[in-house]
Amino acid sequence: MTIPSNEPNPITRKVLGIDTGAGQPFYMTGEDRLRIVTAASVAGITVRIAGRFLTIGGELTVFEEEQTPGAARVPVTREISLGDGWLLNLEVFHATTGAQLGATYSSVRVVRGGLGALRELAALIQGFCNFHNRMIWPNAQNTRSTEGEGLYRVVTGTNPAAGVEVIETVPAGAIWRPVSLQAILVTDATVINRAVRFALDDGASEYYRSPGLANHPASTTVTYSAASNATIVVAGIDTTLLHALPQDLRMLAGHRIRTATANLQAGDNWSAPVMLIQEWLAMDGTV
Amino acid sequence: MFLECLECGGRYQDPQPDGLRYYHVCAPIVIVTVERAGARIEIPRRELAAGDKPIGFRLAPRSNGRNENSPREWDNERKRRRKAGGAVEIDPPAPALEPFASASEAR
Repeated sequence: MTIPSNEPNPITRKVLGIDTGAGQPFYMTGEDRLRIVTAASVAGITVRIAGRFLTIGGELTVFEEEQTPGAARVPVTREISLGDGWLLNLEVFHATTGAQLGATYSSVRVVRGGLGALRELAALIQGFCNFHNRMIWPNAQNTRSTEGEGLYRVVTGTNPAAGVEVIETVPAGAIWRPVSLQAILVTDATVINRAVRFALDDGASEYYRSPGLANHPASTTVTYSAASNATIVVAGIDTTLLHALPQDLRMLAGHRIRTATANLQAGDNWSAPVMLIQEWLAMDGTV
Repeated sequence: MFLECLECGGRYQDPQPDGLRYYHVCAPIVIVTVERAGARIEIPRRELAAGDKPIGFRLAPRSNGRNENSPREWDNERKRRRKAGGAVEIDPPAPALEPFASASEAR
């Protein structure tokens, strides 16, 4: 839209930078709306969107809306109609403290049209935020949902029944990078050597397997660890064995990390695996 | 809350201590190919008998395996699936066993 140089409203002229050449307002008509899309991996987070809007009549207004995504990593949407005028600034942040950066991912877009005929016209800002780290527009620094450090977290997986391997599946909507994993195997009295390996697959096809490091005899407890970029260690004086995982691995939803134990007996018992992972939101759902 | 899967017997915690949800997936079963009495057969690993000669194994999904990952469903739908008889709440598990300080103490 071309702003007429003879715009009479002095506030409008000043705010829009007509005289000074400064300012980055975004002109919106009554048909345009702000659409906020957010996904979260932690429950109980409220995302707040706030900003200032200059109406066509020169009135400076403020807006503030909230959005509460669930914890299932499914994107949720909210739309804000601001009317005819100029969007001056915008910020997105958590309403309360406590959540780590990386627990939510939001994007703010300009759209027109209704359900089934929605048209996205511009993406203003997208990235991570929490209470203290805010997404701001203008001067936005946009990031993809798979960028940055992600969310570091410790996951305690399923404690399998006797005779069952450890297996953990990357949940829907998430991307995992396993940093380290630890699980304990207690073998029963059946006299046979077991050999433990770690394997990675996509739910059907295996794409990595670590070698067996040492025999695990009957009636013995051994702690097995696996870490990315680790040096394989076969220790002679300790009952802990360290396997290596691929460096900088990204596992998609549905991929699995598991043990593969040769000669695992019906009475052998794996503990629940404890994993340190980096998690990113895949933002792969439709909205 | 600690839960036990009625299908595979796995025990898990949901939500996790960090507040995130945990979506349990039943572990697959291991089917072992063995030579038994001169014939090559496939049996579940738990049915291995003395004298069986294992040749190889493969993973097979459980026929009624549970997968709490519902890519585009809400948390209340996941809870509904649990209420339908998939899992029951149990007491928190005992701490994991400590390994022996040295291999010699195991004997």
